[in-house]
Amino acid sequence: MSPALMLSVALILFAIGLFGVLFRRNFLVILMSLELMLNASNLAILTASQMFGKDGLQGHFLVLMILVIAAVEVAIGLAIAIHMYRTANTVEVDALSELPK
Amino acid sequence: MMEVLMWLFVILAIAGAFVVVMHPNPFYSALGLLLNFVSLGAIYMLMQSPILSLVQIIVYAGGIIVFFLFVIMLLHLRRPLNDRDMSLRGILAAVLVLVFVIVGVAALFIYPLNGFSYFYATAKDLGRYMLTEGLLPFELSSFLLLVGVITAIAIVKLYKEEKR
Repeated sequence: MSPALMLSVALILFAIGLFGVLFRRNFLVILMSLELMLNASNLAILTASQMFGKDGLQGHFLVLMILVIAAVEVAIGLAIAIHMYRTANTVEVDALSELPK
Repeated sequence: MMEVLMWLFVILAIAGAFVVVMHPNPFYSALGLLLNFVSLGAIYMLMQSPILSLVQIIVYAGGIIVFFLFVIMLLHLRRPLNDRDMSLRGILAAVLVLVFVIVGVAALFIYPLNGFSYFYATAKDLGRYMLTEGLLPFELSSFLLLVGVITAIAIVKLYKEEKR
């Protein structure tokens, strides 16, 4: 598979994740879509770094750092989801508009 | 053979992503996410990066998915929550994303790219890089994990103090 094809796959996965964030109203599914987007960026970075031989080791390292950020994001996001469920008794983001219209 | 496996896992990854976005039940969305993560791990292995493949399987498929399923069960969200937005907003999102994909793929195929020159990155290579050139980001990431733990605890404590 050529790099352009792999980068296209990463782009399509990112687009599906973006669509999920815009389309769904369930907070947990929005978090899952964010994970999809982070994974797509990991795939793109790994593809790009495998085009440069040994110099591409920086890309592998960057993928690991993104993984750490994703783990922290999920931990805090799920804590927010639980807090949201306890206070508003739902995980739909539209139910949280507390500003007067 | 490698090519066939690569295509298989690419198709599985995209199918898993579709399940995440389109399935009304968040439990099945989490299982679709699991399919996506495992296929991406296999793709990393086929792209000559065994250490990232293992980390992907252990951290994402083993940690984050369990975390999601645990929260879904904790919140009793196993019944579908008809939340898919079929209004104008949903259609606009679909059109926007479609334009994004078409423009992006066209740009990727117009611009000439080099071929792959694989580097088989072992744990030894990555560990050496991590503790020499990448030392500062590595230490900062451990600090970030600490901040994440403290924030998660603080959010839970916030609820208890509000309740009193």
